[in-house]
Amino acid sequence: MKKSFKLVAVILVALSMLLAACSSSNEGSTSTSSSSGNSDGGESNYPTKPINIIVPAGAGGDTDRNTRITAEYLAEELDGNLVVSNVNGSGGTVGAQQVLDADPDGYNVLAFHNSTIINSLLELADFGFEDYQLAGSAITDLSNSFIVNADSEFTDLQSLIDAAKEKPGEITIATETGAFTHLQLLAFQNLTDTEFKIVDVGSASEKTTALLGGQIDIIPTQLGLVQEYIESGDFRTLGVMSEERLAGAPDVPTFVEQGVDLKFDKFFYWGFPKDTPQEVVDKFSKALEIVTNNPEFQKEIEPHLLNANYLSPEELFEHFEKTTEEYKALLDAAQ
Amino acid sequence: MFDLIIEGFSLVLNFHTMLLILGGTLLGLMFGLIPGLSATMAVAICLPITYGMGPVEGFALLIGLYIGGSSGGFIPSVLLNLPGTPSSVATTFDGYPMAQKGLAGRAFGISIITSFWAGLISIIVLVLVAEPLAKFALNFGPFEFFAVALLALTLISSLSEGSLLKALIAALLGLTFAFVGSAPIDAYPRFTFGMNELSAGFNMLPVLIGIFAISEMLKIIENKNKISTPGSQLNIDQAKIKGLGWPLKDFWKQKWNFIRSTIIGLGIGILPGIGGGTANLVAYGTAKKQSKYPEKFGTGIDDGVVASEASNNATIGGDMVPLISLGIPGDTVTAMLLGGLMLHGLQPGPLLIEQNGPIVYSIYAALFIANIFMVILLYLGMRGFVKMLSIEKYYLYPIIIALCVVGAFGVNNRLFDAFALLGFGILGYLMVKTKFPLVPLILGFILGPLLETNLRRGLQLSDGSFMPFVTEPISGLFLLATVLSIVFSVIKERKSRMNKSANIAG
Amino acid sequence: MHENKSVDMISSIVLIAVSIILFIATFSFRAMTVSDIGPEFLPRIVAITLFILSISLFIKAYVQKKKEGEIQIAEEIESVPQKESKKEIYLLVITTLILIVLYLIVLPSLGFLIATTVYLYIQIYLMAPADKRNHIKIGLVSVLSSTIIYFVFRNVFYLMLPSGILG
Repeated sequence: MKKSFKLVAVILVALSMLLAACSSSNEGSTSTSSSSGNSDGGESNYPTKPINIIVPAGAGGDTDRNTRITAEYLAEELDGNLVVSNVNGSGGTVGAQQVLDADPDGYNVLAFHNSTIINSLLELADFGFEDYQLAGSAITDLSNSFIVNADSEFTDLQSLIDAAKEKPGEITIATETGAFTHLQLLAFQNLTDTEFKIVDVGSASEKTTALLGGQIDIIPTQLGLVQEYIESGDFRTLGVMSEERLAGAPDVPTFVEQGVDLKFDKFFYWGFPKDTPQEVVDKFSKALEIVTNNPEFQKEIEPHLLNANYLSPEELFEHFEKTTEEYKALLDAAQ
Repeated sequence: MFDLIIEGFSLVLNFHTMLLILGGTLLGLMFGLIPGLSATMAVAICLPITYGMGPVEGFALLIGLYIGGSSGGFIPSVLLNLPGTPSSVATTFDGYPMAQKGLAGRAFGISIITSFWAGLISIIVLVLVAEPLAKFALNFGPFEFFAVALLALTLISSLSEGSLLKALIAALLGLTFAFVGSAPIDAYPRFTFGMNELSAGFNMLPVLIGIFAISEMLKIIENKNKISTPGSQLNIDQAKIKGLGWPLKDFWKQKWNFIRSTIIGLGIGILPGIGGGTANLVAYGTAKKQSKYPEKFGTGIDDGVVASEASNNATIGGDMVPLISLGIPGDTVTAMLLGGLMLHGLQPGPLLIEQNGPIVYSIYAALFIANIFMVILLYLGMRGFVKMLSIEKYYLYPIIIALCVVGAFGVNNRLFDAFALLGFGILGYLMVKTKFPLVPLILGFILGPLLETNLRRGLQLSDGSFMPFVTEPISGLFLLATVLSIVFSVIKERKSRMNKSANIAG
Repeated sequence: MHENKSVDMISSIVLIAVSIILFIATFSFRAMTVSDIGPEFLPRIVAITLFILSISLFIKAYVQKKKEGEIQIAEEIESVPQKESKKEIYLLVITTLILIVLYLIVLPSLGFLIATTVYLYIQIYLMAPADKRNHIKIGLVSVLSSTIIYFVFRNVFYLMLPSGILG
């Protein structure tokens, strides 16, 4: 008997230490939690327990960042608790699949972006956006850009195209094979009739590393992710793939201005598994809309060169359909 | 800079922030010492808590968790022969035999003291020379990383006892498990045999804990009739710590080993993508190779524990180097810290120090203070930890299994990892039964992706030519070291075999 | 000399089979890029090396077994009386494995709290020596530890442990 008391005592001491550590760390936090009890109520008082948000990408990237910022505002709006879990792997298909397989009770939601389209076009996943009950989109990133080192010989797209025509297949350009940026490169090559040496370098931060280390000539990435390096004089941008110049970076010319008709938007959407109660999805969409219109939210995402742009589930579905057609055409043209 | 240091400390030296560092370190230690939970998990779980705090307070907590979580792992390594984290695998090699000899207190003393000093040195390096070091690390591209991974793989021979043939087979199995899931570059799944769950591959933690903890539990069940005797009582009495647990003169004897292991830890930490999990094995293997008495490694000597524990704590400062000076994460924990920086509205990158100097220096200050708290907490908790020995194993292990299941949920939030844990447990058990060493498998598993990804990226860069791997200066140097390392081990093996046969003949 | 060479032979045969399966599996890999060194390159090298090493292990074991044949027999005779309890112990190992599998299977539907309590109870009971099998004590430990783990992780850290029928 003595032994078991010892064990219990050890566990209890450990527990109290854990709790002490946590309550102390909770002191300064404006806790977003307010739900009480674990009983499952009707949908009208949704949420009654923490909502599990799956981000199918790692920590420290833009998907993770954008989701966490939005989730914080959503928690306030929904008056509930939102828990962000990173489920990394296979270009996002693992986390996306996990949400599809989860209980459609409104407590499992996916937060991802256009790679869903590419994953299904390339048959990396056997499901697509139409398999989700879409809740809408709050953030669009129009700052897709080509970045070079500050001492690069390329000053604008024209000089890049000229050089590429002169020595086809020699200028190295980074990508993550099968990802959004890969599509941009294929489209660029196609439009300008050039050929680059496309090298897989990995995630956004790995691309930054490779460019800093001079292992690669050009990286396609979000301008919002590398602003610091441009400001510090390490990097330069060759332009953004948006319709008009960005409000946050008015000096950066667009690709269109430079004669390359390339436009891409990266939209971050929210999707529930099929058969989630409609009231729940509606409530979530409504909250998403309010968050998008919240000036504080807009101010918080502005420095990252993101646009607060609400798409309702219907608008999002249409946008998905339209974008899928575009991407499909691009991939077909590349092959 | 001196002003900044003072400013950094002044931001942290208040009751509330110090409490956060203390709480973080304590919680981190708990996550580190429970097999199946890790520093990565501790930081992931607590990241949302920091949103509501200011950046200084938030990072105080996260840094505490990081230091604590990276340090607690040696405790189960020493007491139970179970590495608490991937960074403390090599600590089991000599730490556990030492505890078996009744010297658990000494093993703790060595671990705490070397962890502290190595951690401190790495933090000082971070503060003083982060930028040039990070710039140097940028020279490491695919060719260089491939060469480093290859060199680390040659340590298999010094990391395993018994048949080299079996060690190599185990390493190949480790590589094979690393192949499972989506291929680097092409992203299409490999070796999944139609199972969707496998397409994400295996996670490090379930593999490690399965191989060590579950197989250990099964071994204990086998020896069921032997454990009913409370044999651990003896150990507890002898485990009392005198002074700091480790006489200064013994530390002095280890100075070169300590310095070498700290440099290995720092170097591996600074390179993005490799961390403590590799560092401790590399440092141990190197220490054994350089030693005048390699045959004593694994019997419970100071050298082994020093190498492992110095290197894994030195990776902390090392991992922070590229994060702070260039905005590049060195491992999973620093990737989350990077996310934390962004969520607090700080733009990580080369201008971070310039624009947010006080906050960066408050992070440095938090690192210093957490390192000190870590030592104090470990010494205070020592008796409690050693008491864990007196808990009957048939209570302890089932609870560890349950915690591993929690850990599996914590890593990637999916049950599949728990099944993987069990699968690797069975594999580990079978390997122990058939006398295959476990460590080469872990080494192969850690280094596999690094090796393959960089080989393929390198070949993309060079249009399929292998030449740059040899002609690039840094990579060429590492490959030369790889060849030398193999040649020397073959010569050594020959010599010892000849000696043996000479002995038998004589 | 205590190493059982027949075990080595069996494991090398298993490994040879594994390496062949792996080698064949590499032919069904899909690739997105066209290059000489594709996603099947390294796995194939590993499979081939594994095959070669496993065969050498088999040969080595076979040769040594022939050499040590007589010693082996002597050893086996010695270990006969222990056979009975050995069988019982392996039964326990297998029961434990099945128990963990069952635990993981029922975990999502029963929820962490109930599944873990039941698992801990049975597992501790199985592992404990006969004279230490105190139902109250084991029950107390199982209930307390699973409750503590569940509430700490679910309610303090918001880790999404399955709540199952309690949810």
